[in-house]
Amino acid sequence: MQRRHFILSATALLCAPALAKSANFTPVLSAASDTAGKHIGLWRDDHWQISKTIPHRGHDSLFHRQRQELVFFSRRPGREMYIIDARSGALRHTISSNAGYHYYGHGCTSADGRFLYTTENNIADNGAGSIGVYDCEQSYQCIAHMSCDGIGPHELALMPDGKTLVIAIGGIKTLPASGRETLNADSLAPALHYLDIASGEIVERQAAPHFQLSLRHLDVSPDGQVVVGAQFQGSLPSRLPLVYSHRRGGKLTAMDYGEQHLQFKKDYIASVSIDDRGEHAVSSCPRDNVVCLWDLKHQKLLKVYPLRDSAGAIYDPNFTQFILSNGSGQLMALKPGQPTLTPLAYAAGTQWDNHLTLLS
Amino acid sequence: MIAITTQTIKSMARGALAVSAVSLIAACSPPPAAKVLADTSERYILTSYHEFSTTSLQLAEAAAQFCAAPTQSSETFEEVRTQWRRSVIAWSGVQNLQFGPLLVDNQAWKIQFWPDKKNLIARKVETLLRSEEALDIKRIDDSSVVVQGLSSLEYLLFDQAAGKLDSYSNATGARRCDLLVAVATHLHGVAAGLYDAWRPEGGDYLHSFIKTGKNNPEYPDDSIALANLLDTLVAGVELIKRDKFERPLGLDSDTGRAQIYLLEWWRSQYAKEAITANLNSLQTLFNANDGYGLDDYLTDVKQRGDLSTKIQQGFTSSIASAKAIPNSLFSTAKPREQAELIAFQSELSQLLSLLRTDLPEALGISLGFNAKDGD
Repeated sequence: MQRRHFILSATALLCAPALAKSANFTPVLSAASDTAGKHIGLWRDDHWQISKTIPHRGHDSLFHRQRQELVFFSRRPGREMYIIDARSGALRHTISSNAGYHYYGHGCTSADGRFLYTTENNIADNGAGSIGVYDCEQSYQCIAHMSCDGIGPHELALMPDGKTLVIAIGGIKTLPASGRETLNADSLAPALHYLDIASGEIVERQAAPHFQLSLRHLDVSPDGQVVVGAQFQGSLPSRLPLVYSHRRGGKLTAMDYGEQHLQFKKDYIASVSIDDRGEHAVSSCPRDNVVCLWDLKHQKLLKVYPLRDSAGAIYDPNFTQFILSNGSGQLMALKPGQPTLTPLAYAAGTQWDNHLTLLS
Repeated sequence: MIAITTQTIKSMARGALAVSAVSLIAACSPPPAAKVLADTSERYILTSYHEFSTTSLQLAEAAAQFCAAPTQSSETFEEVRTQWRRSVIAWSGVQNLQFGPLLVDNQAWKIQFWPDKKNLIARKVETLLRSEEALDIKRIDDSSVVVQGLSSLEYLLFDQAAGKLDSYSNATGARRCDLLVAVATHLHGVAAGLYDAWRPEGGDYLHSFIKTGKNNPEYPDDSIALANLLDTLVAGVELIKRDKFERPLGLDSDTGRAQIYLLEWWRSQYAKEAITANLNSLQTLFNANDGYGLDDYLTDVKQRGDLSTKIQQGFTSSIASAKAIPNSLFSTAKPREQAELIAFQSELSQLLSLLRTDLPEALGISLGFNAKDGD
């Protein structure tokens, strides 16, 4: 047997179980579209364990561990949030944003799981960015809004101190009356803001290095390193670095691309995910059909993998891998050190939406 | 009541025969999508990578021959330039592929550094020449991509100051020759590596791309592989229109200023030829080099022979318009006032609209769900 043939058949053997019904990854939450319409749900192995049809595109989601609930956010400018029982799959609540607000599609919970924080557009206040506070124990009732002092807050996360929210301020002003049209193209002010939950004060701000470099998606390592990905709003390609690292009190630093940043033609980062030890991060670039793996200690690019219309990225500690999704229905595993992506599942005809969440 | 004549029965029988012949053929040959993948890969992609590997070898050989002679002759120097141009045309044949080995760790940048807004190529090449390091393939491989590939060679062969025959006979001439040979040889290594990654006797990416199915890690079905062909067509024409043509000539807006140093291959004034080669190769991809291509698939499977014809015509007239531009793009004085340029721009717009809007719809393949108006 020739070596190549051996490798091929060995690969085939390894791949077969991945596509059969066997646990190669922890189940994921995602929004998706297929021929039947738009839906949100929980994907396990090779099927939807929970699936609910919704009338519009969903965006990000979160798993409320303490309450065993799945929370799904509408894509901007949606006004709905869906709370689903993780065990039964029953819809527990459909929450609508307060009058005069809409969601940007992301949220996170407090350390004890009592409160949910969401990024919102305060339409009534001329598109000012706002953080909605919801009491999970009171049927997710909205109990307050905090200013994030920036237009277009997008993804946010709770810092390891449990007291601070880090918020990617996209800078783009939109109002429902004009749909998704950018209303302040000449005066964007994208930034990274840290909000002290107790006082409601912004305790640190880091402006993006360029006014058109819209900071949108981020993740935080267990020791507080924030990695944030950008989407450039000006003439493409920008030739600017698109992925930045930040630690409280330090400077916002571009991750080192070597010369490889020049490959990006469309300057668009969709998802950012960090592993559980803060060693690696992954960013998806759907418009350039690639996924990047980063070394967080040295803050540099390790490898670029081709993946058409790449979308969600989430770390799966149970299998020491990143799970990636794309617009062609593929779920792929990225294991640092391995030369290629390996398949986990394939949902023919399904378009996975931008973000994945792990059920753990 | 319908009178059934002998004539009708005969024609019905002929029809039935014809139908069964067709289904027999269909049963014996692979399904159309698989045929598209096989023919496009074998007749276009594989042959194009082979061509690039071959021309880059000839370029490396011509460089070695030029530098081996005790005194450099203009004849052998011109031969290196000729082989460089052939290599650019061959590279233009695969440059737009949006999938496979070319995308792994960014191989394209080892071949071409463009656009070079800060004139890094001149600076880095001259710095390397001034150093005392040995200029061999290993040194080039360890170097920045700026000194690698066709762009660096273009500087060494065509730059108005540094890329002349005289440069090879002065004090730094020997080192310039070492660099020329090393970069050309390194380029051939990259080109040969790409061909090897695709060919059945090598990495056999060909097999991965055309034998789709459940056990294929990258392509679980034909539609994903077809989507990559679609991406290549759209991204290719987009790049030509925006980056290779409108932006450098200031035609991307009413107030746009020409920035001709953003043109591809401006030092050799070869931008128009490269664009034409790109369009030729994209058309070859569309028709699988006269095999069973996306054009036939559109006609037979999607019953969109009309669109297939329109796209073929779009390519043909875009290529004709490019060829009708009498001057090099670099020497265009007032782009907005030159009728041939405006005509070419209009052809590209029409072609792009067919590829970006009509073709995905007809194929039933989305151009990118998350890529399009994402969040």
